[in-house]
Amino acid sequence: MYVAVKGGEKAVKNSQRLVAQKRRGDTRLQKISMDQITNQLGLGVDRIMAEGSLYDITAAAMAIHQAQGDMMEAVFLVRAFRTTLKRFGNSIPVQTTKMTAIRRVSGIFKDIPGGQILGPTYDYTHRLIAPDPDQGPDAGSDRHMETDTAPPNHAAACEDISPLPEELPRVIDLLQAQGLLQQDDIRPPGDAAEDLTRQPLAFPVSRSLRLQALARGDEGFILGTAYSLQRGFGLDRHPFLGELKVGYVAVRYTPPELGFDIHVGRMKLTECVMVNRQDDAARKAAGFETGYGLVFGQNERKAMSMSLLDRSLAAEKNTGKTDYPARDPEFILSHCDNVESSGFVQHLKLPHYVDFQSELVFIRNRRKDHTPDKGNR
Amino acid sequence: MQKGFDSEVFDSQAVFRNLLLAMANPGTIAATDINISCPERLQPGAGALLLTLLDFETVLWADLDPETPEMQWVHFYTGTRLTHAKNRAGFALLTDGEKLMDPGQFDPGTAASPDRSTTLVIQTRGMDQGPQLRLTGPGIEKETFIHLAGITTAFWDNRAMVNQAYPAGIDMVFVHAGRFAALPRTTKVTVC
Amino acid sequence: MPLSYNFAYLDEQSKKMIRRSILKAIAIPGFQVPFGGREMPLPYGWGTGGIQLTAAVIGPDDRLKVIDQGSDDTVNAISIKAFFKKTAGIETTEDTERATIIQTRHRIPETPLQNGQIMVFQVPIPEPLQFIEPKKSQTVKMHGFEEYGSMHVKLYEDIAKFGRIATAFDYPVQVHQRYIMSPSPIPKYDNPKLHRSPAVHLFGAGREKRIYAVPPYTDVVSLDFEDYPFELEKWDGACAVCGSTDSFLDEIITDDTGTRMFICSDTEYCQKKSGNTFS
Repeated sequence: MYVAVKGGEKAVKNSQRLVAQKRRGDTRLQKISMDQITNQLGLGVDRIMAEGSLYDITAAAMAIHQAQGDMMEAVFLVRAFRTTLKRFGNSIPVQTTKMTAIRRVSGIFKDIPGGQILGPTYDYTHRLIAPDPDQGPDAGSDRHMETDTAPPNHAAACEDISPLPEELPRVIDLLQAQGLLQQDDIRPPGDAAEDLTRQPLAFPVSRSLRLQALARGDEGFILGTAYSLQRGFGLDRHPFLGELKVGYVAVRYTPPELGFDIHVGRMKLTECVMVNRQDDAARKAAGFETGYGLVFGQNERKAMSMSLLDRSLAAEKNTGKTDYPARDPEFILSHCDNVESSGFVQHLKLPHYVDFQSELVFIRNRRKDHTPDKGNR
Repeated sequence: MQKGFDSEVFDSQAVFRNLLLAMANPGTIAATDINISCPERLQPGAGALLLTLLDFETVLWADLDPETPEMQWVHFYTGTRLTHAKNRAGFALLTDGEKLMDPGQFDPGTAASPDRSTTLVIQTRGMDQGPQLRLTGPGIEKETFIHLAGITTAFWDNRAMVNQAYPAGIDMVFVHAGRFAALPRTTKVTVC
Repeated sequence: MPLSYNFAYLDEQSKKMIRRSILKAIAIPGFQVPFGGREMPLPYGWGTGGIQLTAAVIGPDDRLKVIDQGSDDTVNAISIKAFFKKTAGIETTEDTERATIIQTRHRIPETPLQNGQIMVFQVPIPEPLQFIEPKKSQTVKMHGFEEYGSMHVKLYEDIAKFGRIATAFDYPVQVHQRYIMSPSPIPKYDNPKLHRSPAVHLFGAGREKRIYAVPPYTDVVSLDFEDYPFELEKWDGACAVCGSTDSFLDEIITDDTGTRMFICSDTEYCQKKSGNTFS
């Protein structure tokens, strides 16, 4: 007699054991320490914190390790941890003009107050895989590859850099001073009442929630859809980089029982303001409009893509047009979260026997019909 | 401050579970055997419900002053925000049900968002006397009966008016001492 | 890093939020209540909506049954049961009659449910109008103003094309003469079990952040037309294990020439019927 398949419990346990084995790999090799991850895979940690929407370096490093470097899996681990944390209150909005910048560039003015700061970037490196990137050019390479990764000699690297100013005025304030910006474009809203992690998205969506969704959205999705704008699927002219800044800001919080604000820590952030020409003559004065991006850690491509989308998604409100995906808030914001999308795509691995059986029964009955396609009997 | 729940986790789960079944089976009387000590004008059933439902994300209207020990107690244990506007409240506490004539003063939500409505917690003077009420609707197999002392006939007429705008409407939980019964907006009430 | 989790994983603030949504869902049968869905430690699509509902409802005295495709022993059912055993320390059971909470994916047990029991459905796409109108901003209005014409048109197009309504699972229903609702991807065979059922039926969609419900003794009618009434799947044979002719049957392919047999999808029902007791 037929006996139904059993053994799900055992299979799950064995699978988990195999994962643990794969993660550890060859036991003759040393285990990676969390310090190694936070120090040497810092940009990966930054990405996990951004998409995990939790500024916790240790949790992000643990997640990367536990997920064997699978970044989306690591984001998921951090999110599932974050969701159970108790809320104490809302911090005071961070002041990015007071950021201690390690990097600051503008594509619209050659000289900006406070100066441009190139800082650490891969932008001007030649992407040649080096046997040991920390040893600088030529080291140990029998192929004599020229790499541009400088040796980590901090004293030498910083010698000729003058001290950074305490405050860096916003580049867009220059445009603002000349009355060239739309008033509502200047600052992102600081409405603390809205929190994407505690309320579902409802459309039309406020700018505050839109920025929250983009800031924790999947880097690849945000990048790809921003790219589609640049290729004409939603933008009809070239956007400009007003300002891109990476650095550290202080986080301050006012405990209700104290009544004054206290410093609770520092965060590394990437902030971007994108500038577009705006000359919808029928409605507004000619000028510029801006898009805003702010991401945990150093992630310039994410912050830039985010600011492009912030602007294009605002356009629906103005024109009512959602002709391209990257201009459609419901399309972008409902699909940019990789914990959601990865889960739902992969759930197809779960059994669907019952549903498929229903389809089989339907199809077999259809085939029994003598006049299958005449309809309207 | 008088004592709230012994265990936030398990007491609120037990009360909620009773409330869920009460809301799903309108007219059924649920009892809480939770050990709780509320200030005078708050019946223990009402206190337990408020502690179960409210937190810093809710907005409560009450027929008591924010400075009363009752409201201080509720605020201390839940952190709920308080409002003076009935039509802005997610929850409302009515310590004296007899004074409540028109539930239409609260927020019934809209056709698109009928869930954005006020839920009333109403203290009564008993569930054994008072006019007999016949209940029908979802959650009730055929019909069921309940007594709620200290609720006026005018109230039932007004309730029917508000709930005519279904799916918009007002859900309510009636309390006496440690017992409570729920009437969602779908329940039709006839005073016998 | 201090890593400790609450009873049934979720923190109390999250549970309260979900509980408030459940009450609204029960009060407005079939209406999809938007809620601040949380990330769960299981992936979206694996039943996060159902797990959040169960976590908000469950207490230490509960007996939890979890099924997937009707079976207690599929990997996902096992995994969810293990999750609640670990985080809530509760008792689990396979016995439908003994269970106080039954979390399910894609089936309703064959054994009739009782008043007081809570069914928790895992829902991938809560919006029955999703494939007619993908925009939530639109479907919210369609439900609000009871604009269901497009749904009837779609079903009627099926009849014109195929001579019958072509939906085999997740077959739309109308609840309490008002809302059109997705019963989740249960086979349409299970739809009549919802109609005036004595149990509470809670539906959770984690990714889409919606909760909805059918209270006990509530009308749940599968959409149809007078001349094309709703019909159930029929099998020619009986279950090869217990001989049942009144349960939903899974098709098992027994060799590589395509020989088929049919057995009950509800494994617990099948075992009981064939006289087996289980641990």
